Amino acid sequence: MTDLAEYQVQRIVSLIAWMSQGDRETPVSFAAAARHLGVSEKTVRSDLEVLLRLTDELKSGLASMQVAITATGFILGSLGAFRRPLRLTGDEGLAVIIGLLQSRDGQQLARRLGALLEQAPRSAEVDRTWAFGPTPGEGVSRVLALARRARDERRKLDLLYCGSTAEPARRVVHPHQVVQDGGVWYIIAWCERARAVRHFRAERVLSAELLSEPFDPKPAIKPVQQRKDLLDAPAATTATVAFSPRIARWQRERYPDGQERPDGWYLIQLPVADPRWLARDLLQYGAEAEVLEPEGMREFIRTMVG
Amino acid sequence: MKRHPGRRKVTKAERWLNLLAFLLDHRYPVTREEILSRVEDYQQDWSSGTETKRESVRRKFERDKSELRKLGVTIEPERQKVSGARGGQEVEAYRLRPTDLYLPYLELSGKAPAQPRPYPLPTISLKPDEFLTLRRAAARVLSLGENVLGASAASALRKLSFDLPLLEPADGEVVVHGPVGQAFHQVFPVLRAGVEGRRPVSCRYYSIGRDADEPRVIEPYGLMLSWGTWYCVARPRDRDGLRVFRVSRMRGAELLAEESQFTVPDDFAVRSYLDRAPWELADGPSVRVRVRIGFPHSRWVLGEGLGDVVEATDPEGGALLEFGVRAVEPFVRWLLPFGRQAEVLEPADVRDRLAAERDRLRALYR
Repeated sequence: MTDLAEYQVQRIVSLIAWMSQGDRETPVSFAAAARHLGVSEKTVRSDLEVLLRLTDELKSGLASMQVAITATGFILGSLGAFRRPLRLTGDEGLAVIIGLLQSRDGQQLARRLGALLEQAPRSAEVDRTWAFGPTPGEGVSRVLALARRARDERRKLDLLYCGSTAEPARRVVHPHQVVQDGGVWYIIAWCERARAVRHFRAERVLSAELLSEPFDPKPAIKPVQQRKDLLDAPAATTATVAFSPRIARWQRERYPDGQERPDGWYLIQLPVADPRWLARDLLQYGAEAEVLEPEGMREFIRTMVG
Repeated sequence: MKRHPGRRKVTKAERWLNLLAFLLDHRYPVTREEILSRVEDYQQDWSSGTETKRESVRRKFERDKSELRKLGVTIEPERQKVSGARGGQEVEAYRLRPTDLYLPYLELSGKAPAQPRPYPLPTISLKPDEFLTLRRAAARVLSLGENVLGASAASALRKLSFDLPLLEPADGEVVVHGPVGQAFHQVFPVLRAGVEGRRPVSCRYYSIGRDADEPRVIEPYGLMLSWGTWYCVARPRDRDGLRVFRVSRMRGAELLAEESQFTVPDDFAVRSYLDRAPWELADGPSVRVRVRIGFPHSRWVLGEGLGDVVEATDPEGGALLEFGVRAVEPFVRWLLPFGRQAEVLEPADVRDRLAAERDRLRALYR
């Protein structure tokens, strides 16, 4: 986020409000404040400089504001102004309204919040001009709803799952996350049969049943936070992939760390946690993308194409 | 803190915070004269006496009001009668109520507020199911990522979770997205301004079908994120009808003059394009393509809600499906990973395209 006055003022008011909520005498570390605001410690320090300057001399509106830097962090609190966050800005309101409008049951709430938050644009106009999806089909929605309940209530889920090549098989799983990547939903779960974490594509679940048996979350499970985490697997190898000159310019932007070949092809290295996933991803480019190595991955694509 | 010798530079953020605190401290309207002579940074030049400087302070105050409006803070003048030397004369006076500045209170219906309520503000009460809807909406908008409104979504969420701490999505609900190119950061804000202001946009667009990079002028009606890719639904000025443009294939976008504003038909809704598969997003006429898909791939296709089932072809769950295809290339490439499990029955040209694409791949992986 660019550090313009509009962002800094919002952030400073949020910081004052947050710090005024609790015990105003106990210092908070710069790291904790940075985590709360989603910024760097340097930014928090720079915001505190502003607050120190503001309270440098007595001003009627800021007389009850207390700010001090201590050995372990800083103290900040107000008994007057800025004990609540500011109203939503136009973009913040837009983001909330867009999010609500994408669900079947969010439209009424979007209209109500839009009117109350005022700065939010009219929900009807947003609904006409913004959309994101795809909306999961009925079957996928049902599976996701059960997976979310299992995750939140820590109850086991019995899946009849059909992977890419295997026959449908029953698996009892402990759901930890629901992850969406480009319109595909995954249930990230501990699989009792595999005794390991597995990523289940929701549309490949043929049936699901919520069991009454509880599970204890495995603390060692690393949550998926970015797209690359979906590819993470202990046995991951790397594939060298070449893109033809026709599509190289787009791939160069997506993967700027690649290598140019004299004939115009663009080479990149991609992790291979699941060969099926990589093959599907590359086959969308047809013969404009080629796996150069490892040979095992080439063989996999050969078999897949048939 | 050590006092700087002479006049110190006051940043805009400091001036705004001073102004807001000053106005909040007065529960009655304050005249512009009083604001400009008492709020730090205005006061030095306002009090110096030269008319040029005072005029520049007035302009600065007007700019500040206008920029603060973007933050959701409205400082509008009230006409106020003053007594004394200018008895009976009306002057501009300003008042900032807590409702004009602070977020309304949010609460879960039936639950006592967790935080003290220091200001008189309205309360938004959410039912438990509305709270869950809002929480899922929060997770969804965060998926817009830093590229689009993700930063605004994150800051909105931070504000809303002040009263409702459980609103922040936990690790249990995540949306991930792939990288976008540098050009996206230039193009997207221009398209957004075009959609919101109904102003045409000029750009270069790479058409993959024609393998050509051409200048275009489009009227952007709406923006959508579908299957992880951003699209703009727009009317090209040189053609009839609406087209779907992939944002990542646009370059050098520029907003055209306000005079050329366009009108969007009342029945337009970008949502109607949302759940279309990539092969349904092109301009051409839709061709019905009949495909036999073996089990288990047929289940996945049905699970994703793609195609119309014509008949179940075998007891294991294979199916005969029909698809409306406007762009053959993405359709054929979608079928490739199914290997021999997917067989195009008709029309012949699509069947031949799939066979040719498979031959090219076989040659590549020989």
